[in-house]
Amino acid sequence: MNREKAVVFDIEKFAVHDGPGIRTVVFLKGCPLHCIWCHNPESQTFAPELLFDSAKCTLCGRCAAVCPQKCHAVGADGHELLRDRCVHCGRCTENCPADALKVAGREMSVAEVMREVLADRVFYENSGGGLTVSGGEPLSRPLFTRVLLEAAKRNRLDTAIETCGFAPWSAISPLLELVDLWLWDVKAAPEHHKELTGAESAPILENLRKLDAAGAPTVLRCPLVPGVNDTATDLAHIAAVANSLKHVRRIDLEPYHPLGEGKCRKLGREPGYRGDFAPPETVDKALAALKKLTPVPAAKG
Amino acid sequence: MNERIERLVRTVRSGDIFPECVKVEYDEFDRKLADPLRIAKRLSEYMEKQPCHFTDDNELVGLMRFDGSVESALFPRTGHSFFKETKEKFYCKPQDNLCTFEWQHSNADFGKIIRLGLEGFRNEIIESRQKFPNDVPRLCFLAGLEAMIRGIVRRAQQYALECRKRAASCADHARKAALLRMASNCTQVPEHPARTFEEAVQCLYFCFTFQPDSIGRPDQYLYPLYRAGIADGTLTREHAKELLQELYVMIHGWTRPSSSNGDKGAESHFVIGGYTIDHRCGWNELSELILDSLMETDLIRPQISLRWNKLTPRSVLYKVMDCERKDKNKRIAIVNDEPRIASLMNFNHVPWEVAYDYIMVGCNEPAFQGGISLGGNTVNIVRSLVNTLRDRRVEVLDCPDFESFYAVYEQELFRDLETILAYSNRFNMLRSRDCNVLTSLFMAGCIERAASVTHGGAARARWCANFMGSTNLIDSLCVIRQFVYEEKRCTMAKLLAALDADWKGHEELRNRILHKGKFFGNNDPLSNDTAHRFYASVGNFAAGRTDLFGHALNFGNLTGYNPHFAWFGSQTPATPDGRCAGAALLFGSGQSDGKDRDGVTSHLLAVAHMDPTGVMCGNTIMNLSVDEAIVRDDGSFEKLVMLIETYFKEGGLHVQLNHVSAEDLIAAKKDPDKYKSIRVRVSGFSATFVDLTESIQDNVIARTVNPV
Repeated sequence: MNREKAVVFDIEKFAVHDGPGIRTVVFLKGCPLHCIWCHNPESQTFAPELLFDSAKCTLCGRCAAVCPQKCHAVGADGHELLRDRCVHCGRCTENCPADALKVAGREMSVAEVMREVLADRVFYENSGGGLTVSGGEPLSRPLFTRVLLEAAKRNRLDTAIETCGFAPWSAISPLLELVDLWLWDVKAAPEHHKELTGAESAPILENLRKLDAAGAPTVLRCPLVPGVNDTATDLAHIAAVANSLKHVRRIDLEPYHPLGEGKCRKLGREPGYRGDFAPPETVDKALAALKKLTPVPAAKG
Repeated sequence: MNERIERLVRTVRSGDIFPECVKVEYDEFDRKLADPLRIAKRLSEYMEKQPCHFTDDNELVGLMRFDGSVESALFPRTGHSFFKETKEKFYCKPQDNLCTFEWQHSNADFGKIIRLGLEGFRNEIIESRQKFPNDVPRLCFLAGLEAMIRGIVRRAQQYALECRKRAASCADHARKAALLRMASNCTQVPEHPARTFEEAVQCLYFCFTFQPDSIGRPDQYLYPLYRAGIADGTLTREHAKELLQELYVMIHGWTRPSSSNGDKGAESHFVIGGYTIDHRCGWNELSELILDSLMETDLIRPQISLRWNKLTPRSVLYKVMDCERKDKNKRIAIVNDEPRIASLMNFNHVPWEVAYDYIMVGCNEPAFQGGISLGGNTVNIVRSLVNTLRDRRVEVLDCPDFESFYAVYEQELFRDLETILAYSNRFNMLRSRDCNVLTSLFMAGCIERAASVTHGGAARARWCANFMGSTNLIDSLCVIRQFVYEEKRCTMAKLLAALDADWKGHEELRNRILHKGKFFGNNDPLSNDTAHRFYASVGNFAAGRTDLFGHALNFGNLTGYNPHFAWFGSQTPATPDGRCAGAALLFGSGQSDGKDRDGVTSHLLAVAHMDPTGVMCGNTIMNLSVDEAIVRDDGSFEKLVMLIETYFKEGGLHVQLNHVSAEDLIAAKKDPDKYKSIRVRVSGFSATFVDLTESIQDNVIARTVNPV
């Protein structure tokens, strides 16, 4: 168990929206999809990445002084970051007095992750909570995810996984006995799924069908991006998927928020989508529409 | 809330409801009397001359303040001349950057007055007199108490007479009946035991002015009469609620609106729930009614703490926290019986029969009904480390490991704790020169010992000093342990040089400390162990020691109404935790400047487990700021309740919640370094507020306006 490692970009404690009770969510880095609205762009690549907040930078030059790779060119005009040289040693982040530099992602073993997860065991026991593995895409690191979930089960923890479902069935089937709840993304109708996420929806839906046939309980998590995937066709698709499942518990509509835009800038990338918070009326309208199309309960996630 | 109570609330929120004090000329010849007799005589004369003031909306009577012309109520120390002098010399004036003199709380045993009536007290005085046949000072004191009873009873009779007089000329039948009932109540209480819930509340209302502090555990001592009234149909829940609300109006109004404390809640604080003497959960339908009736009234005082224990149903915790989240006046906190009672019994050797009945008073001071809180000194605990690094420098530089360093530090800690105790004893000696007969009557032990509460008469006393900067201190010890001894990232000489220079020229070291330091509140082995070690040292110091009256020692960490943490901080040089010279110290149990990076669960666990001895079961507080979105969404809120319940099950002592205000977030935006620990829910997920982009920050700020 100790040999298996993955890059983890966050461990969120007291998570209250990703499964029952009080949970710890472990976010693995790396995702096969590239949704244009992605709110965690730092989760897309598998390797650690440097986040640089130019607004915070005071041009003090300490990063340049300590960087062994000479990634930072700091002058009176500004701070140029040569990302391709960076080996994510963290020296610059440690020495940045303005907190303008951060490394997203650090390699962790299952044992290291479990140590953090188990620190909150008393909270899970008192609330019916546990561990949720998320990402990125946890199924992109199937062995690490499996070993992590096995460790959680050995420790009698409730488990959940949040996934986009884009993975070979061979990555999913070993987890059937290890996952108590599947938080499964339904991102868009098939006709524009590839355009918006970079992948076809067919294999995802086929995996979901098999999962349901195996009796796995699911919650469908559906990002709601105004003007992008909130059309009648998209909502009808969500309802149709929900209606096809025997073991679905709920639909969570997750209104768009622009968190990813700022992070994209810190990563030196352009966001694929720009927008404001999804207005409450859009969410209410979508929920009302879903109610007419499916008996599966839907709520704002 | 009915219209009568609404009018009373409006009136008390718009001005002073208490009548002007009528000046009384005392016969100076009485100066020849012994103090207790003179004081009782003058107080009786004073009370007799005051107007029997109440309005047509009142159904409870007794509004009266003392004017300071004679020693009267102990909590405000009205008329206590030695206290006044001590206050002028020492209050809010830090001594040696170590210790300040603070106020003290003390609480009448209202339950006993309701149960026995003053006639019961008179019997106790007669009994006590037999024990001191030739002790003139004590006999004088007991005679003073007896005279005080006569004066109080006479005052109640004046009210009864006034009520009857107004009834005689009252055309309104309902009001006339009420006035006659009020007259009857004043004839019965406080002289005789209360027979009904209404008489009991009238007794409480009337006697509050003799010791206007905590009303203790009203859901326990009022419950038998409440139950009996409901059972025999003489009392309705609605009428009981009305009586309680009228009582709250008076308690709120007792603090003058024009005083500097007029807007503060801790002037009166009581508890609901908690254990009963037979180890059951004391939460009952009256506890619920007390809470519900409080929630209906838009008042600042009284404030309430729920006494949680392992028998408290989750539904009760939910109910109290639900009220807390809706209470715009922020009057509700929660304390844990388990560690408190364990500390009282095991550390302070208080028997269960007393310990189970503790109360919370003031900001968050544990006390007893009929008991006094001594100490109340607020201290700079960081000074002990500053002294170690300055005065013991040669030894410190020679220390080969953290163990040897800590041994040197512990000597300085003990030296400061001794000095703090000496200061406290000196302050209390000054205060003890006053004589008090009014409040002493209602304090457990004063009749039995025939001694004023100020002279050590109180049997149920608590001593506590409050640490300012305990988290700075623990963090500083952690930094020394981690950076100098374990990871050897810098030498002690280098660290000392940085501190001497107030970090100037050593910014890199300070950054490394702030980024990599294993600070308290992250539930990691190093900081947890360092906290344990520090509190174990404090426990070792306190074990077996007492103050000058023989009371066991406890410590806490609240700052009260005064910014002691800032005063001490302004005089304290840079500290190893990265704090710069002059910066305010931290107060309370946890972090409040962003060093708790591992989230709320780690923070709560570290705090719940920090004290292995129970010595910190004094005036200890835990401020918890949570994003308003968590309290607004019922699903998340339910998990917040479970979070707090788990914290208590793990031994957490106290919690008061802050749902992050827009003001705090605006301040966080301007000064992100100071607010790194604020996590906010953006949209079904959490993020560190200061790391969000500006538009999201603005959005969150806009949302966090309290919608209540």
